[in-house]
Amino acid sequence: MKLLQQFQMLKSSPGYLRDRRFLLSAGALGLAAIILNGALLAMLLGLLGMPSEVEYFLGGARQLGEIFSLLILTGIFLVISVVTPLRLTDIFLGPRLAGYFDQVVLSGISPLRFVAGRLWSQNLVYLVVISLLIPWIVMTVFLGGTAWPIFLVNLLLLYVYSLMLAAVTLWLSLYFNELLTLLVVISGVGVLSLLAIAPIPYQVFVVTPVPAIVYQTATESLAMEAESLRSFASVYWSCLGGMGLVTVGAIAGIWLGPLTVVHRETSTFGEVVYPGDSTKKRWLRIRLHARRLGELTFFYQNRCAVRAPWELLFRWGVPLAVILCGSVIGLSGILADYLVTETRLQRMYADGGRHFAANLGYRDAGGFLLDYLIGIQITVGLSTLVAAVAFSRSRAAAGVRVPIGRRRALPPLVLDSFCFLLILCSIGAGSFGLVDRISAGWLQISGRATVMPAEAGPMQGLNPEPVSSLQRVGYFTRYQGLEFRDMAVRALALHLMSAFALWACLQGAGYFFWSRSLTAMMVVPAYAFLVWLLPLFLVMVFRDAYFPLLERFSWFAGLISPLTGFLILHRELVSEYGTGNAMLPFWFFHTGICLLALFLLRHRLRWLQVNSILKPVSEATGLPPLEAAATMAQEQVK
Amino acid sequence: MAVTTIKISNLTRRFDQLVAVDDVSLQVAAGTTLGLIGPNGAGKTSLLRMLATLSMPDAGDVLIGGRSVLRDPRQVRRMLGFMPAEFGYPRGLTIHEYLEYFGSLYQVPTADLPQRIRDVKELTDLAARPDVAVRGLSTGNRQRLLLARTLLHDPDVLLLDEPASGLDPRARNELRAIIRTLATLGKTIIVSSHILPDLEDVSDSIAIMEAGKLVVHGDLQQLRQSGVEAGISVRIRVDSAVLQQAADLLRAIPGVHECRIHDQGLLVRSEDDGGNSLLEALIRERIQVQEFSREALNLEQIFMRSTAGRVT
Repeated sequence: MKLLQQFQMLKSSPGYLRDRRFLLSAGALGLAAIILNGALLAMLLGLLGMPSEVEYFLGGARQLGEIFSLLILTGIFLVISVVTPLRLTDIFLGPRLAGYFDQVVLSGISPLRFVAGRLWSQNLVYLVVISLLIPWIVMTVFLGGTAWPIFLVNLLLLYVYSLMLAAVTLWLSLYFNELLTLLVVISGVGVLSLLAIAPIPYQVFVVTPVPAIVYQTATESLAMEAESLRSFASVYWSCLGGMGLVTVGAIAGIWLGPLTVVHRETSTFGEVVYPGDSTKKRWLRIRLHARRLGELTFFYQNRCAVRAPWELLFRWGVPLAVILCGSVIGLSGILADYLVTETRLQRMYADGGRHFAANLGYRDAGGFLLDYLIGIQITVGLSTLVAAVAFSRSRAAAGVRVPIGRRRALPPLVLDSFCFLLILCSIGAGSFGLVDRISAGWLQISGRATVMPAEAGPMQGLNPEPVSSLQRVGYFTRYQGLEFRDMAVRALALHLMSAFALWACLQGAGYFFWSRSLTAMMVVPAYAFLVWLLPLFLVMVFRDAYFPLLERFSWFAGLISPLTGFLILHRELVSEYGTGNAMLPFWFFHTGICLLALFLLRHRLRWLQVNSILKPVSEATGLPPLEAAATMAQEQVK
Repeated sequence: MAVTTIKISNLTRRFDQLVAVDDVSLQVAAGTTLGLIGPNGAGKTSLLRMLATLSMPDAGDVLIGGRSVLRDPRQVRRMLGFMPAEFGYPRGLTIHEYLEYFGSLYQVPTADLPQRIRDVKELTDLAARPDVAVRGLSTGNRQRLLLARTLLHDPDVLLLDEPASGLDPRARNELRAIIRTLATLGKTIIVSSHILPDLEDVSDSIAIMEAGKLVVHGDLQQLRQSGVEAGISVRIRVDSAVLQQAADLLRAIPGVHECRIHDQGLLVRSEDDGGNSLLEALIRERIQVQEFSREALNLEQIFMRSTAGRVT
């Protein structure tokens, strides 16, 4: 009964009512038919236009029905990938620009119910797409050669993909405007689809249906060895699981709302207004994401009030928890994979190692350890990058304090730094522990192999496996020692990036780049170029140039870049910089700009506090600014 | 029957240096209509947005039906119907679809929605009009539709921000009739406008704002009788030969604030509640009084007397 009520709720959701009217209109159906059939025809004509290439890739003996089914699945994938973001990106920005978002807030509708209707209407979209493709599917039946079970389960996968894309688009619409959401979603889907079929050891990109769609054709056409590939069922379930997780995550993200907690309203009359806005054109005055209190309350107040007292802390904790969980899941996956492989390796060494390469597929002896190193680096790197971006968003501009317990309230900047440090320490410790565990296990296996060199067998041509393994062990143990210094370099660099982004936001760069997120995004490449790439580029250009003076300067300039630091640590630039204390200049320089960043931040925050917050309060209360600040702090704690 | 009272206490709202609403306190009794008057920039919209929980006060609080807009905004929203000055609408909908969309947004039960839509269309005189696209509606019909939408969830309290803005005289007249009907249904209504005759007709009480401050607040009938200050306004007609003499005589009486010749008569503002001292003085000087009547001020006169043309 409750389920039926929920279903009724979805059907009566405003988004669904509106979408149903549009999607089932003659115009929309006609347009969809033209686009869909046009896309399929274009693909078919493209294939017919290059028969030799098609034959080369798809094999001559393949029946036309199989090609048609692949075309249909690809067509649905492409149409959904483009149409879904196009129709859903305006869910929050649309009402804001059209001027009825306040009514959405006042209606008391919960964010999830507001969005649910549009998510539900994605079913209609999928239904329309499938209906329009019926002639093509009928044609495929007559042509023969289609693996129907695979075709049908792939249709189901595309349905899940369609829902996932809708949920992700709706979630991203909280943060970006229509154009940016469109670009992020479509390019993201493209990149993830390519990554999902790439032969990489840790396949975490199975969040599109592409691997399952192309599985049959790829395995047959590229004549891959069966034992080197995962089964279709395994690929299918990974895709389904991956997409399911992303869908749930996106829905949770919508439910949480924008994680920009500490904002003071700066607006009136329907849009955010800043000093100097009146001189700008209207479209330059528009802020991209929900920022006014009236808009943010939609995500705060219009949902269940159970956690209301913890709302602020809860929202502060979510980015921290998500990043930590992501990192933990990534590192656990690597460890689990290693443990399985380790058992297999030990068994193979016990058997004489004859099937070493075949049983491990592409992860042969040579690349075995390197895969794990890369996996750990990617996980740690991604986690810290996400943490840096998440915590560089200025949530402290108004100087509002976050209550911690009954009597204390801390500035968001302090909390941000604490969270960021916590993330760095925890993922650093996790990755160090993992490297330690893997290197110890590998030492044990390769130690056993050295005892039985004959049984291990020459698997890599002239390079006997045990020797290669020992070399890798040497690299691995050396890496283990580097881990902490690596982490420290990365942490310092990301902290700096974060500090500069925050400073730029406080300077008012957000006004020009429209939003603080975008400001942070602009600061990251600027910092990467000026501090990471440019100094290294100078080293590379002038190291062989015959300008002694420049060469000497470039050598010194190179020390600024964390990349130079990494290269020194990994002994790629030993000749120029030597070993030992070669990293010392890097630490001096970065400590210096770190102090500068802190000084700038403090200066700017104090200025903002005195001129934007305390002055009006001081004028209103008649108290001196410092006493007004103390009164405000007490009120916030209350 | 609604029993919702609005109580505003020391409400203040600042936008950086600008004080949009400055320490405003007033009360609106359940089932009555308050006309909120003020020039552009007086702070009317800021005040209404705070009442509607869309904007947070820097100081003070508002209790609507006993619930605070600060502590219990979600409950307050359920009692409110807010008609903003600007008409925002989702693209591509007809009148019926528009009402259906907002009915669903306000979570009107699906079974009740068609009847509710019929009712509000009837009330706002939209029922007889064809179900055309919202985009093509005239300003008058847009305001009707906006009001219909505001009434869809049957709120006890109505906040109407400049509802007559841009309407022709006939449409304004119709809108006044609708507001009067709503008042008879027991709704507590706050209507903001700077078109004074519109409010005069529908308001039980008025509040005049200027530069963020509340300068006048009270029962409309009382204010019309007494003006904004204590005392009375009277019109005195005497023989034209002694008009100037009478004016000089009255000006000399203590408590007379103003005495001017107007339309062959005298307009006098006096602190004397009954006007007896004026009449006595004229009789004592043997000036024949042809007419002595108490003058009721209209809203415009009250407004002009109470404001000085300041804006924030």
